[in-house]
Amino acid sequence: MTETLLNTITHDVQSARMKYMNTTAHLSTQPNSLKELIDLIYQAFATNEVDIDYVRTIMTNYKGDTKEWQQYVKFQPHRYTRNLVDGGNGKFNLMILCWAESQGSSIHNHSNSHCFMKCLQGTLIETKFAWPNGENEAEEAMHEIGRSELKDGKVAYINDSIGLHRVENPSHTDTGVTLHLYVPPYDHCNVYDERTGRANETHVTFYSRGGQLTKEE
Amino acid sequence: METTLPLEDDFDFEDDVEDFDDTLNYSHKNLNDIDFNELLTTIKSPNRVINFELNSNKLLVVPNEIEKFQSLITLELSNNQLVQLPHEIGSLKNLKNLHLKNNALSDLSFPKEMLQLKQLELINLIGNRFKQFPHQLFHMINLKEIYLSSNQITMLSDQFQNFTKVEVLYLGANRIGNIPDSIGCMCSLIVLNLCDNRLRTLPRSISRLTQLKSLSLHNNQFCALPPDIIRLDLQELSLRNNPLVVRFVRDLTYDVPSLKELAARTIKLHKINYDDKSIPKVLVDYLNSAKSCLNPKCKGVYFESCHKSVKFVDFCGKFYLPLLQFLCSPACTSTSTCQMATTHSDDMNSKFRKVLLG
Repeated sequence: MTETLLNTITHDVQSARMKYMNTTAHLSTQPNSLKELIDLIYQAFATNEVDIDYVRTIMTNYKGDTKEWQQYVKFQPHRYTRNLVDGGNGKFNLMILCWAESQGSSIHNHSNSHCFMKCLQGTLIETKFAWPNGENEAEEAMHEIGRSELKDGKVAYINDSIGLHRVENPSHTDTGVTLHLYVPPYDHCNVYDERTGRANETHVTFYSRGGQLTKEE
Repeated sequence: METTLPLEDDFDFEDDVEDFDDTLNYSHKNLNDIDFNELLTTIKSPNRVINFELNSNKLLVVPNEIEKFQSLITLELSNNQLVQLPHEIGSLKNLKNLHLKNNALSDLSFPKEMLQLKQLELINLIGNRFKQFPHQLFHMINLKEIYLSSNQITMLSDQFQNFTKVEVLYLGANRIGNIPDSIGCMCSLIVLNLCDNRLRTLPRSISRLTQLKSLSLHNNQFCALPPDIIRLDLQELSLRNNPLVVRFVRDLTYDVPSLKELAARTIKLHKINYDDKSIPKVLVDYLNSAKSCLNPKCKGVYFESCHKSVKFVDFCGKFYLPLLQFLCSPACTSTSTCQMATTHSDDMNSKFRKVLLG
């Protein structure tokens, strides 16, 4: 399944199939290190098309070594942290999120970007929600459409057409670490109140970039 | 991970030719008690060890020899199978950080000598089997971080006033039904984790925690929160998976005030004088227990029968909280008690006006 990043409509199914065959067929699917994974991602996004299956495959296959991502692992007692690994020259953002015991995110959307999320350590729970009914003024509780566990290197994928989600570390004894890939990158998204469906726009920041703490708030 | 920390007086070059390593790392070594005993006899200068890492082994006991490690500041014993701590633990006069996460400790595991650890700053007891908050901790006035998540604690005694230096308190994943008032005395508290418990409300004293930045309340039984909570300057508040307004609004009863209460309200409202020469002392005490109605335009008071109403308040521009207000009568709510419109019948709307939390 190939998706075009920019809004171009492909009338020619044949040529679409050819594009699919060409973009990633020549690339390896087995990244042996974080650096290799990043190289493969750069190559995969060399054109404006995102081969979701391919990206999912390489994210899943990346086994990785805790030493490789140690410099991005930073826990905070107040909330989970977002630590930028690679800014992708503006095409993608690869980051590591660190969830201390019992930390979780709010319900959020993904600003029309693709989101791949891989569990590197611990166990996370992803709860998906349907988009709130924006038609009338009436507020109603948001509707849960799925809940799944993410552990042992498993990769989850979401985009706005699938729905919204919340990610949390349910454990009180173990921390969680996840690897996220966003295509294209975004710095604003909406957070939703589960009880009413009300949305608030929020600015997303990084706790660290390339292992260095930022002063973003 | 054997970093050598600078020792305070290390001027005796004749003593040790090589560098003394004051951190001993024996974690993840599958050590059982026999191995551990052997290990302890081989350590030279135990009295100079500052950090002792023994986590993720198979230890069932901590041997008495631990008392030789008089300089110990950090003792890491997480992920073992400890059932008890030895008396000798109390002799570690320099111990500041005690890590005991994921062991089998319970209410009878601490020896009385535990009380001697008055300099302790961090204690991690996550993932053990405590059914009560260890009372020995109440005497450790230098504690800064207390981790007691994932135990089986059902209640907290009202003794938190000594914890004036505590900055982090983790009590998640227990069975706590109530937070005592003395929690308001923890003036240094920055992080309070109460998620995954059985809490329905917080004491009003929570508003005194001026340093509080992170409050975890998710997975509880909260129907509403005390209005004083808006005085806090929180960076993070988690409220997911609480029944909040959606559920509680369906239970409704309204207790009509008793004649005694109505008479008392009138006395207070008209400022009629009373003392224990004119009426029995028990009534004087009753009259003195009057609480003021929260409606700023109302001068009324209430005793037992109050109208609890829920007002949704936008908090820090991020959260939309249901706050509980105590009012002397339903007439004191100027706006409708709940802004949450439902698509159900008008029945619900009329119920909103007569809401009383159970």
